[in-house]
Amino acid sequence: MKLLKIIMAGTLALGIASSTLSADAAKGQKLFSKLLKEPCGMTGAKFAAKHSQEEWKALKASGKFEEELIKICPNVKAGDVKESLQEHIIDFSIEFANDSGNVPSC
Amino acid sequence: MKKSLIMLSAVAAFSVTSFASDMNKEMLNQIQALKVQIEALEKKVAEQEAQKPVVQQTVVDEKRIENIEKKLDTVSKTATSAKIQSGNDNLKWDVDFRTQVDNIQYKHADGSKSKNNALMTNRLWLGMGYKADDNSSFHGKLSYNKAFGDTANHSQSNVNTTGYSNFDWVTNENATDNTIKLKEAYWLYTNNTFFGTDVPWNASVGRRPSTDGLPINLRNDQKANSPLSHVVDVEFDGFSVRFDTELTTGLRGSWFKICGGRGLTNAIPRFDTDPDNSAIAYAEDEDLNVDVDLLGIIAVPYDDGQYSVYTNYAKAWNLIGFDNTDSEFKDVGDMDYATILFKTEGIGNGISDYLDDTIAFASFAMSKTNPNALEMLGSPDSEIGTSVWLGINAPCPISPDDSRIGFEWNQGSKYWRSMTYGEDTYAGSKIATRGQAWEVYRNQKLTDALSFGLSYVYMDYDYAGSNSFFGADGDPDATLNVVSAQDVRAYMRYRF
Repeated sequence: MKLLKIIMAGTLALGIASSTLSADAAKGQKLFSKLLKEPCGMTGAKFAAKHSQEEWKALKASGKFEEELIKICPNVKAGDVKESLQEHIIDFSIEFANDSGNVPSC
Repeated sequence: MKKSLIMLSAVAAFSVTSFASDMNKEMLNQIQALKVQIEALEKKVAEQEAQKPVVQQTVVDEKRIENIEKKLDTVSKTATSAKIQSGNDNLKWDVDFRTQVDNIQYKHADGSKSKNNALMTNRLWLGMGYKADDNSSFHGKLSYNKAFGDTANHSQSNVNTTGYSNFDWVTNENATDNTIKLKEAYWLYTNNTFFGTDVPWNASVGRRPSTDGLPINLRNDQKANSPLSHVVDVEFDGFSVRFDTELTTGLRGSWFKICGGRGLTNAIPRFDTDPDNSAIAYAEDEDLNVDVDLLGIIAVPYDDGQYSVYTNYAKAWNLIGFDNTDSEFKDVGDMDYATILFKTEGIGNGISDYLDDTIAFASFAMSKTNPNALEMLGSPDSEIGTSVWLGINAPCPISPDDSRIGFEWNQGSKYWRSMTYGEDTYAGSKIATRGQAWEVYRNQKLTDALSFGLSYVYMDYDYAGSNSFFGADGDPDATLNVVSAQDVRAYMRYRF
């Protein structure tokens, strides 16, 4: 019980000490499904495989992700995906890029 | 007259000369002033010129730059190809290692208590995946899950040996056996067309990912596996075939999946000690429980990425009940299962970032027994059980970017019997509860790999046999021994 109390007390400390992790690939996958699967006419895995990891990273760094998104999915209009949400989708794209070696499960 | 004319001319000439002289003087002064101004300007220009950076003129070799760009493009393509090859041409491993402490408390009908203040466990999952080509991939998971140290009386060891060669303190230093636990191993074939039709599909066979399905995965902070966890949360060997029907039916995000498998194989082992069986290895043993099979369908009529509906029907044959007289499992009958689940990934649309990131679900499930002469759940009749499960999972208000909190509540009726023995709760399956159960939890990401979780599960039993099998052992009218159970757990988890 003592051990559990220590762990409980440690929760708050961990909450304060943890670093903020803004972008999330799993969240990106959900967001793609919600916002882009239909207008893009493809699955998230297929979208991510359009580029290599370095290419996605370069698009992220140059701020040209939305431009590329519209190029791949012409039905998507500028502003359809909020900038704050784009980061998650980019992270998902990097995770499953064509040179990532990651295998989407069933 | 001549003299006066000469005089006048001389005077005029003189005066003109003196006027010209004045003019020259004036002009000279002006020229001097101009010269001073020009010198000042020249000085200023010279100073400005001196301040300007020296522009080096380089000769631009357009052709050379063009060649370099071509070469860079080729090198970049080669590097990407090499990365694709190296990334995809090997088994990709991932690790999920969890250290957990559980405080477990049971309350008995007579008022006494059973407890374990700190059950400490380590669980390791080594996941693997390999995509050989666009259509086929392999997935596997090796597993280890053990309490700290050896067990009391050495009674729960994984390997039956005479003596203590597998004692936990030296189990990896001693030569024991070659056992390794396999949680998952299956191949997956995917194709965008099914015999020329516009139906993407996939098929999979092996030891399938049949624990931690939707929606228990939310509490477990992981991606949902194949089945709906309201009725099925056990490890299983079998197959699945999935068809995406959105393009053919027009129903957004719709798909259905046929799943089946075998939960128990009746086969006489090789070199059996019974002399009657020693020569008929792998034949069926008429004296033991027959094969336990399961076949089901999961259908999703609608999923727009935010709102989704999942349905499930399954049938299991020859389910096991524990026969106390013979101390062995017996075939007691069949079972039908049905589930409907509503899920929303985000409440409303754009009301707030918090609500956009909130997940809620409601699930209703039903079980129906079809007993043989041996009866099921203590009843000779077909009995229907029902269960309701509600849950919400949202960002934690104090640190919304890296942690999530959740609350779940479920209630099961008298004859409710789920197949959720693989649920990740040490105090028994909360979903199997004949009564009420609720859970509050918080999962927090600490770094890219480390996470921390805390949860409290409380199960309040109205009937006996919540965590038993399908025979008389699962009779709800039996004496209720444990009236409630609770599990407080805290864990650290490394995933990468």
